[in-house]
Amino acid sequence: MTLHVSVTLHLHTGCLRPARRGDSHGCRFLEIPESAIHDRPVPEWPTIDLASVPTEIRLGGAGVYVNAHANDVVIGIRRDGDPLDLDTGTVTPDEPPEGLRRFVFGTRPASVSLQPRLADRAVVARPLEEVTLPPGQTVHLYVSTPLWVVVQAEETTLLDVALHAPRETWIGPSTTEGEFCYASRTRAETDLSALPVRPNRAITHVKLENAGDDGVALDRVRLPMPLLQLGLADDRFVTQGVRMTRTHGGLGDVRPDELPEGARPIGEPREKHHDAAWRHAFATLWRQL
Amino acid sequence: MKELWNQLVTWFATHWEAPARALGILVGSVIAAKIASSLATRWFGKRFDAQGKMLLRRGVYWPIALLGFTTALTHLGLDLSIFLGAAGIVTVAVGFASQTSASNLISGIFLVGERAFAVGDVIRVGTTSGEVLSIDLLSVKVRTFDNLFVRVPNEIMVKSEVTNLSRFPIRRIDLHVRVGYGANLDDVRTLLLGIAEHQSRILAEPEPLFFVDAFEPSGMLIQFSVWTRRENWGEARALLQRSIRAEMDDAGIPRPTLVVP
Repeated sequence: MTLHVSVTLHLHTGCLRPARRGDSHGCRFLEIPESAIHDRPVPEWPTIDLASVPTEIRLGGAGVYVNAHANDVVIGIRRDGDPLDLDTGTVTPDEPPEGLRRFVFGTRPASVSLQPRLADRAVVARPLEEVTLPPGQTVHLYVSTPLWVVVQAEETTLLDVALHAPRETWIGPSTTEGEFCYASRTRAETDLSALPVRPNRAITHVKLENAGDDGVALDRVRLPMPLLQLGLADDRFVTQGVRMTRTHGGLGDVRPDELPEGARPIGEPREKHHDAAWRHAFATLWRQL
Repeated sequence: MKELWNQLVTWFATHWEAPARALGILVGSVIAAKIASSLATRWFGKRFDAQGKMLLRRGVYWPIALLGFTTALTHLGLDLSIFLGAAGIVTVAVGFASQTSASNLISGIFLVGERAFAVGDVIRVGTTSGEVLSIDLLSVKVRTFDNLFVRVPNEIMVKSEVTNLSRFPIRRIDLHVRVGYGANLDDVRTLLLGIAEHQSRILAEPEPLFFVDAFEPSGMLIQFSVWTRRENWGEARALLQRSIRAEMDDAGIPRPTLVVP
């Protein structure tokens, strides 16, 4: 699995590192050959050999820190950068991040692996600018959502956490009824190539159809991430698509689509697919114009 | 004394069977009631909350225990109809003498039926706030946040205004911020919204509320309201207040002037 990301570099004496905001993790050495810097392939989320630690895997403004001792493994997430940064690679950290988790073993595993996963709750994405859908139109939007990282030792999951913890939000008919989701903003791009390839986000293809008699404004999109399959296509993290049809005067119908053509599935969805869950996932909140 | 002892021993030697049987039935029924209530809670408890589990446990325990008690009395040779008649007279007498207890008892039934709160909820009644430990026949037991045990009579619970602080999943934090008349309200609004956006415990929606609540002699009183998970309410409020104070000072927002009467 490879991802291509263009990164601008600053050369420092003895330290090669990508330019990014909020750089405070104190990189000593970036283990990426210079030839692989421009439009370089982002390696598969790696398996970390615990004989060569401490190490930190940078994944777009956040880093997964791993250290090990005789019988324990120490893992932490360093969220010191901008979630929109594109930096990736392996660094040797000067100091550990805050909030470390220590896992103690009778027999310590030789390695731990990192796996990407979709959010553990639905994500509600609000368009940055109001999107209006005239009657009878069908549009294709691309919405990106943040990825979680799963750290596994052999078959055991040690950590399942957001690379960048998104804000929580409440969605429902009132303040007494509803559910907690993650909040996100989206540019609601209609052109996939306009979205940068990010190591920490997955893109969902949303097909919106306005079958009503009048135009509607798209207020927000609720994507049922735990029901969706994560995959990799054209060097991007992608998910199963979602089809949303606005019917006459109703909230509409929501259906899952397949993974994009040629996409390779990664892992399993967090929750099993069943019709009831999809019926519950009234995914789009339309506003009458 | 020795004679009395001998008489007792003689009586037990000839009549021991009935009391022993009654005792056995009583002990057996209590054990059976405990086992049955535990099993009922284990099998069906998953369908209920803490309050429902408590009612289920008592609903199974007391009928079995009472049945055992009355059976034991019958084996002792007591005529239950006379006993119940006497109990009725005693009940009337005790009822007149203990109207408060009777009121609490009836109030307790109303409280359980109304379900305004349940075991495990956080409530405020009068000056007492805390977690409900149990709803009993005469009183509600509450554990306050400073870990005190408070017994609130049911009659007071029925007569007073009771606020359930944990009924709904989200709660609003209302903050009142005073600024001087020299402050630009747009700047203050942007600053407060920015602070809320960077607090992970503040929900993105329902959206924060910002408005001028009053024009006072010393300055403007602004209400800034945000929403959070109910369990995060206290911590989020404290963090928000600290951040607002620090960031308003950093941004140079004019403070209200001290008015000396």
